[in-house]
Amino acid sequence: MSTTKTGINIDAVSRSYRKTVGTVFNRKTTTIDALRDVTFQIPSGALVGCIGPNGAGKSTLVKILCGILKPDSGTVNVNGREPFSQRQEHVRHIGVVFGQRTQLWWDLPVSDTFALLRALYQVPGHRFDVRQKLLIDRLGIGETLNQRVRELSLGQRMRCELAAALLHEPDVLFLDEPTIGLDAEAKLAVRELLRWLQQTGDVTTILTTHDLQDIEAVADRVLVFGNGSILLNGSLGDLRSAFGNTKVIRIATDSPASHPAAHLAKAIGNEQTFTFDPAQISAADLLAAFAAQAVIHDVEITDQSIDEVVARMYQHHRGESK
Amino acid sequence: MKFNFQMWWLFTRAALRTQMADASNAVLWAAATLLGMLLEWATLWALFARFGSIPGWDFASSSMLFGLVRIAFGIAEMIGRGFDRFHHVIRKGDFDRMLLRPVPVAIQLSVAEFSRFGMIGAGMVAFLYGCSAAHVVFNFGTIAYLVAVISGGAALFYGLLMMQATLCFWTVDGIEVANAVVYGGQTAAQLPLDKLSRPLTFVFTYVFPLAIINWIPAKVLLTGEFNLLALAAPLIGWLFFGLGALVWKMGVRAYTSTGS
Amino acid sequence: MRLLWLVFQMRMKRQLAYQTAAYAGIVTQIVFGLVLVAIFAAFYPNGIKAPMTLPQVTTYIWLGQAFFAMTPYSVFPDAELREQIRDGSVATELLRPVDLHSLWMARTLASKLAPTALRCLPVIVVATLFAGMHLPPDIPSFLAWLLSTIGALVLISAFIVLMILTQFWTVAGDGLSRAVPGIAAATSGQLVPLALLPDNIRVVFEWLPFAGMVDKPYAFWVGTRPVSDLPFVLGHQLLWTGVIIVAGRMLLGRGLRRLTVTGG
Repeated sequence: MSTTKTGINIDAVSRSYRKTVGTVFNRKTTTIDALRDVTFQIPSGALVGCIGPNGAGKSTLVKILCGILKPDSGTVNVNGREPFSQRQEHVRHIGVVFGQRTQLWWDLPVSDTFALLRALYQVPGHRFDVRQKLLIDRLGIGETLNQRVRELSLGQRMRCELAAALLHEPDVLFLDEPTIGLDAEAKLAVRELLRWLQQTGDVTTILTTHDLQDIEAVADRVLVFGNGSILLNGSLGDLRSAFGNTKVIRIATDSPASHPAAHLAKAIGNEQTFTFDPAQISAADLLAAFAAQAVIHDVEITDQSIDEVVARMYQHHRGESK
Repeated sequence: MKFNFQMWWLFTRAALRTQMADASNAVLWAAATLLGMLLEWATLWALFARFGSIPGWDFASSSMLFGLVRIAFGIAEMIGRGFDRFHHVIRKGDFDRMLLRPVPVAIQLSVAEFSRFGMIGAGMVAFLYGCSAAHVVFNFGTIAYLVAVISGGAALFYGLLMMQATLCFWTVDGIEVANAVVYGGQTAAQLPLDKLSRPLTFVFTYVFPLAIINWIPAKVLLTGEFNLLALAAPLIGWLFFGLGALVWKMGVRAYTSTGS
Repeated sequence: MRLLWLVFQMRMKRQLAYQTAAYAGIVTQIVFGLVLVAIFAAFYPNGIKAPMTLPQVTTYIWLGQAFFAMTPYSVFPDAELREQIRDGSVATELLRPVDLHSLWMARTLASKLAPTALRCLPVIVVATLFAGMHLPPDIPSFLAWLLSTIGALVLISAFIVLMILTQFWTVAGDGLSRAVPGIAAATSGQLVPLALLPDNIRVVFEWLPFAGMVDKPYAFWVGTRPVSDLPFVLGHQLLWTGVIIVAGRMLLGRGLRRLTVTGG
């Protein structure tokens, strides 16, 4: 049972698959490189967000890390285990949540599902009771326990999924779009749980998502995928500075103002929004220039939203790979 | 082994609980299956009514064949339903989820479904009718042999279902072909296979040994004469099961190393 | 109408892509044809008197193999549709400005026609050359067969859509989908040519819709049914198709109401 928690170590992993299209009379087989020579490390206990456009290789990577797909080449090590060759042993120590699919038993009450999972992962009774109680309290799902899974709302179900994935105290947790389609309250509950997991510090978590607010809220680090490669491996700050450290200034004035270094993004009535690069002109200088042209009633300076940064990054990458 | 059995029982109990929650459905389904099966049996009767019996074969003995093959298939389906509907599992992406559980997938797919009692019931009716009409004498030996033969037959079909499921790794839509083998095989099995041409007899004896767990044992019951092949029949069914399990295992490995 | 044609085409295209299935299907059908022919041959020792000669039965069996993909052996050729109804996601289909029943008819027609088109010719050629299958006695019989086969295709598709629609009622639908294949196999001629059944049973079966899917068209090819029967056969098929479509539309209306009331 005792595995050393060395985190996740991926070295030069590649994976391709063939895709056949066409009819009987006219078919073509193409090879798609889902992952190309990917290398990275994640220390034990870290929470890493994976982003990237659809088809960039995120889910292939997660499948490989879960042990349900074999890499063509390279080495994979998750807390001392090689996932594919030791799949059955490996999956005993991991938790997986797919936002789009349930791993709960559809027709059973939640509590029965939990009991099944206890037996399935052979968690000792008292240990399970403690863990279950902890998770139920944390996620606030005490009242849903007697309901059948199929009767739960999406938000309730996702909380139960998270509890189910954590009952057997996994050392790695894979979350695939855990907040997709959730209402604001449920989203916050999921994020709060992830932060709590991070504080307790013994679960390495990989979060793949398109919701960058999730990443901003909880991730230590981001892996950005594009075309099967890692485009960026670093903090959110790294991401911002690597792809245009653009800032946004919004001013409310009595008459329109402008500046050659500021790009007008939006103008509604007396309110104008500009983007600018702080390396070209500082916020103070820009504001002074605007103040010289008009009377400013209100001003707000923010970072460009992470969504826009990432969208630009994808665009940039597509341009490059062409 | 013990662990696997425990896990199987765990899954089956859970499935059973949901099935019992709708016990009336299960009864209805079983009745529906029974009705369909009995109608098929009736066409067999109609055929013999039209033509009379053929040398060495009549409605009673054909009923035995009809019943025996359905009992065996019904048992295999009851346990191996997961393999039979594996194309759904694959198509919905549930197979990946199964791989993420620390229990062999074959165990997870072997969860029992009890609504198959209809088929087993229809098989029993036809088989017992056939036996009594053909004045089959039962003693301890023949009953023990019968039990072994039915287990061998169920094992054979189970092996076939596993092969059918393995096919789904490559082509989900080839499934109807496998269905044709399974269901067509049952139709073929209810009539005397010694009337077939040599190549076909060969196929049903050595390639897909349906005759061995159906026609040959039925003949033993009718004549009371054992021969070596008849004695080996249950074993051959189990060997076929082993083959199916092997194919399945290779399929799973190939799927995870080359798959989607 | 254009939309339905498009749906039909797309479905055809998708189904035609399954070539492995088609090859395997051809081989399987040939093997089982051989088995069935051998079995029936066993019933014809020395000139027994029966309403069909052995060559006729043989031809009938091979037709059954060549057009197996079209027979009602499987009530759910389109698993996607069934799942859609079962998990309630069919509700989203309501947002489209199309008549659902016609849409599903088009889909089903394609998913029955495509595999049949891929398989029937090779089986007929092999069976005719090597396994005792006969061609229709004359051109009019062939034409009668062709027309009634088109009628059968439409009838089967309507029936399958009806079966799919029963899936709105989980319990009853499941029961039906278990009982129907056996009933269809027995009464359509798929198991035994209807002409070989005792007369009183045969008369009843001939009135049922299933006979129009298998037995009636085959009988033209085999030559056991005079071409002058064609209007009656087409009438039988058309009548049942109409009844089944009306029933299907009623079920669809009720099913959707059920779905919107319970909130799916």
